[in-house]
Amino acid sequence: MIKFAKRRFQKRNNGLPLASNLSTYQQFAPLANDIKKNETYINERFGESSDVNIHSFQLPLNENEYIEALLVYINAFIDDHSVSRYILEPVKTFHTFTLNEESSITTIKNRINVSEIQEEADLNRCIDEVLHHQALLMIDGASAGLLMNVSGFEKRSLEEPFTETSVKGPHIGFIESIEDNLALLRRHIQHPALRVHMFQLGTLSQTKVAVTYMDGIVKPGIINEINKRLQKIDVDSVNNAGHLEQMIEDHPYTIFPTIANSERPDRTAMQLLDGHFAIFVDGDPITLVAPNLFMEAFHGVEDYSSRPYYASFVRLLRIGGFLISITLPASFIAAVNFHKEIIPSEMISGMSASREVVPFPVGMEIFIMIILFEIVREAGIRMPQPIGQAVSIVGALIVGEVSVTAGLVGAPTIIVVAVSVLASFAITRVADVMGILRLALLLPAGLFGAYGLLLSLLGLATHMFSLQSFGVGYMAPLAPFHFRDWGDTFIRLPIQWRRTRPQSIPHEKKEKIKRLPIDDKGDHP
Amino acid sequence: MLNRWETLFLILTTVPIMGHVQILPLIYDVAGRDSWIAASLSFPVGIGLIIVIYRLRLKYPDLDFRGISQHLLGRFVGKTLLLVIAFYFLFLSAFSAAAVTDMVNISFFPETPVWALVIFFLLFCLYAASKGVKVIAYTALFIGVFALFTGHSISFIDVSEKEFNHILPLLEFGFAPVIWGTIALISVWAELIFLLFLPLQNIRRERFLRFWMIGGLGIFFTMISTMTGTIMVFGMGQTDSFNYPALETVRILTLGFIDRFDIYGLILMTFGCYIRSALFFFLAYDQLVPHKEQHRWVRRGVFLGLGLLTGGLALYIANNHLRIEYFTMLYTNALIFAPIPFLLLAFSWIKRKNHKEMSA
Repeated sequence: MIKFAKRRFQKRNNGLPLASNLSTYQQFAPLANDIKKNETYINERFGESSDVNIHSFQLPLNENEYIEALLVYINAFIDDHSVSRYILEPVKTFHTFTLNEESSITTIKNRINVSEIQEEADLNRCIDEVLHHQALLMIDGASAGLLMNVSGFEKRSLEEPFTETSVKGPHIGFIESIEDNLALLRRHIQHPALRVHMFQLGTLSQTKVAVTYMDGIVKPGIINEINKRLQKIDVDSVNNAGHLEQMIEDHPYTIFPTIANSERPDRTAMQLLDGHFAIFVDGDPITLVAPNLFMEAFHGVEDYSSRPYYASFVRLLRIGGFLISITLPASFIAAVNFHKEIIPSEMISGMSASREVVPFPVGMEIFIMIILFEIVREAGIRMPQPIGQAVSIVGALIVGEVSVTAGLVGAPTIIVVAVSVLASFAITRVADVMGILRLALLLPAGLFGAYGLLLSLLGLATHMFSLQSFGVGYMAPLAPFHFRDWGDTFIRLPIQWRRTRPQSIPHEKKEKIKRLPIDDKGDHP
Repeated sequence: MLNRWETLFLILTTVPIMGHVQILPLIYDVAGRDSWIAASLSFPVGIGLIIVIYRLRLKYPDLDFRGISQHLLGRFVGKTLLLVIAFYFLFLSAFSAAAVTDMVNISFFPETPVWALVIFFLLFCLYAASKGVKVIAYTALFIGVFALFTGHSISFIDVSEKEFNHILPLLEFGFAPVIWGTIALISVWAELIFLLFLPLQNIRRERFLRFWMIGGLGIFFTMISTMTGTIMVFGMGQTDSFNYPALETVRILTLGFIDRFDIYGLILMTFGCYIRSALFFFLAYDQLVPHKEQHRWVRRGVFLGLGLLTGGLALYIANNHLRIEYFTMLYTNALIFAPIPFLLLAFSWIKRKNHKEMSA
């Protein structure tokens, strides 16, 4: 019945489809010859929204004759100056128009001073493009409209990424505009093999999504897989990169991220050149990079612009920091409650004395302190910056010194929790994972001591070994075992020793460095 | 499909737990200070097993054990043999769970109920088993590398405590105890028949034999070093009274920041038994339920059923240390599985010979 009514309406509407609120409008809707009908249809689809500018005006054909024209755009997306200067001015001062339908739109197109301009005969597509920052010009009697890129909305300027700062190397991060982000990437890889596939996801949000990769380096199977997954997405909206990440990842229920995030063009470019692919989402500065390996979380972008010795040292510190951060509170509980024999005897008396007045068992004490810390941290992040700093200082004072003085917690507990939390700051890419694991391991350690902790860690290891990121083992190069990649896993060997792409990420081109000055030994003293 | 490294680390993390921890008190009872001689005599059997298993896998690269046994022994005998070995693997899985639980219960948590320790352990093992043999092998690789680095360091730290004279005189009670010890240790080597059940990558291309031999040497080395080490540190009289002699050698270690290092024994025992229990459970389940033929819920049901069976058996064994000792003795009967690969290879030769004669 509804279908029948729709067809009736379309017939009356000069063949244009019914303009209901949430239709997808994927079918072809030819521009009507009568510009009024097109205007009505556009008005229906936009529901006369006040931010949509539907500017009706007359084009002079000659001294006495005029033709009706319609310019449609969304105010916030378009640069008004460009519209009046490069579109309206040239067409309004034009006087030798003929009423030939075929040539009229092309003639106008040639007069408009906009570089990105195209003819479009599908009204639905025209409307979609208006939503994607284009201006639409239609003239009465023409079977096609003109889509012009005169976008000019406010954007954030290029800044250093907040989460991936570096001392050495570039200080530019991605912003919220997908076009600018792709341009930033192109600046790092100025080669035609850099491929960009655009998708539009979300029937209502119509979010632009770009898959980028290096042709000839990435394994085609991986690109086929991501394309397949993106094509299968049928949702109302894709709000941001994190939202999309949850739709395409291999293991949606794990706490480990099998798709990496980055805000840095240099890092993304480097990963593309190693055989990864990257996904950009319009409106989000975060880029999704896959396949993602767990050990890559310990790699800083600065590692590759620093000397290998210190970079290796820092990398080992990060790995140590991860282990300390997740296991120290649980190990402390296990040692104090079940395995006092592993604590040096000189320490035991001091520890016991500091806990004498504490009313809680050590497990609960640690648990409360971690939760308190998480609250202080969250408050510090979410509050406005000056207040946030104050919250952190007051929180640290209360949580630290005052609670020890008041006898609520023991000093060793404060040290354990503080060290554990500080260690987690060394690795921001898996900070959320560490936060969960730090808490989760308290329970088995509290129940079964080291036995519980060990078994939980084994279970965790097994879980991690079972994960995959687009068909690539998440724990590579440890398992699957690729010994050659170890030179850039726990440590970073000098560049002269790493001339091939990592085996862990499948790729089509093995060699990365063909020749270095050091190869000509005669040239060096 | 497993590669040579993964199979090597599966060998190194599964068999040595029996060879240098669990069976040790029994071997000391049987062979005394000549246990290391028994281990040396059993070593050729182990190496022979490895060679024969490799030759069988090489001969039938496209067949799994089910295929090989049915091809050589016929459908009925092949299936029966498969069933017997599957239950042997289930026993090994349960026994490993019971062994680690018993050790943890006696040495670390005497007041914790055994059932809690068993259930906690088996939950993790069943999780690992549900992930398949490849993931178990990955975990074994990770554990194996850790054990290789730390194990040797521990042996070296112990050197100052060792007194070589404690393992003398040799053959004090003649050859008979050594022979009995050797027979008991063959049951440990018999566990290697699990290599017949692993899905392998291209066996012709990868150098499996070399890696398996290294695995065999690793098992032998751990047996010898622990058997001699414990006696050298404590002397035969004291060693004989230990429930877990291997644990006692690490218990006396002091590392400065750690007063007593018996936690290391707990780490290795837990690591090893975790891999053993998960691997043998998976292999048993894999033989009892061929994946392609069964519905997903049937497979899950069988998995759960076998899990409950293993848990029940582990709980029964671990409930009392005397039962652990009894089942350790029962375990030595598993030496009857050692000749199976030899017999299969012999059958394959006979079959080929008959086939040649027929075609001639």
